[in-house]
Amino acid sequence: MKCLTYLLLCLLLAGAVIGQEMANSSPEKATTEPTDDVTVAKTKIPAGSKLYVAPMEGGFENFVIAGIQKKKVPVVVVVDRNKADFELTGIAESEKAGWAKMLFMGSQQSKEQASIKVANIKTGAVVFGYSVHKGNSYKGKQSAGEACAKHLKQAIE
Amino acid sequence: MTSFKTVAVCIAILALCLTSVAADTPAKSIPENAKVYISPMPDGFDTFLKAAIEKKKVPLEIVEDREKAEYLITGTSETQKSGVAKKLVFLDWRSREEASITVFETKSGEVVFSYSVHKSSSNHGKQSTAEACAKHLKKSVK
Repeated sequence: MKCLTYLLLCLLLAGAVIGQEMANSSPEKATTEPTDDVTVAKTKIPAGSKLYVAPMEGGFENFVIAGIQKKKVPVVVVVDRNKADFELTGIAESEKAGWAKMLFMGSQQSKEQASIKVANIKTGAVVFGYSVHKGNSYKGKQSAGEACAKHLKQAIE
Repeated sequence: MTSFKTVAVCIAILALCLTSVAADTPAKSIPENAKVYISPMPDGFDTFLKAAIEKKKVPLEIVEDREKAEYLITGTSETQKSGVAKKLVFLDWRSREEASITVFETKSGEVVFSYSVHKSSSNHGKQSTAEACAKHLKKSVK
């Protein structure tokens, strides 16, 4: 009886380990979660720096600025590039949920991906880079904008 | 009893840290009756925003001349009408709306307010998102 219990326990443990391994190596999971930030240069952005957010496709710059305000990123956003210390540029793409996604997955959330980089205007050095991909974005572009802002905050001294 | 005291002290220290962090972040506000110019936006969202500012009684003066304005509102808006699948699967006829606005001071060029809104099923389409923007804008006017 004891042997049988041990055997069952071992089988359960092995199953759990294999399951975890499979979940970790699953490529789907890797694509649905935001990717890690990539810091290009080691220099950080000083708090209180003046940041210019360049226009992006689909007005994504507005979502990034809103994200910066919401996440209380300690930078001053300016609309004049000449007055700025750093420039934020990027690209964003939205894909609305199609009928198949709605029918089979029961999801009407969009797929969002965005990528931003911050460069020092004087030196031209890229000090921060980040990309985000959300397979099911709860709040569309707003989620992507806030993710960018959240990670930008981490790169500020 | 000692453990309770330790927990209480820890919570107090955490609260102090959080308030100091909040105090560090600069918070600019728009003065009452400031002259604001609303830039043209995609799909005529600026018109909805003007109407919402009036409806929500935001204490700002909207001007038609950009040169006379102290603050400028720019933004973007996107609408997705409810498709056949959404109507059939979710029995939802409402549209998906997202909008984002940014207010900046014309003199300094600094952004003083920014807000984004997303409504997956908007009851009144663009009107809802515009009113959400106006409601939050009102909070930053002092």
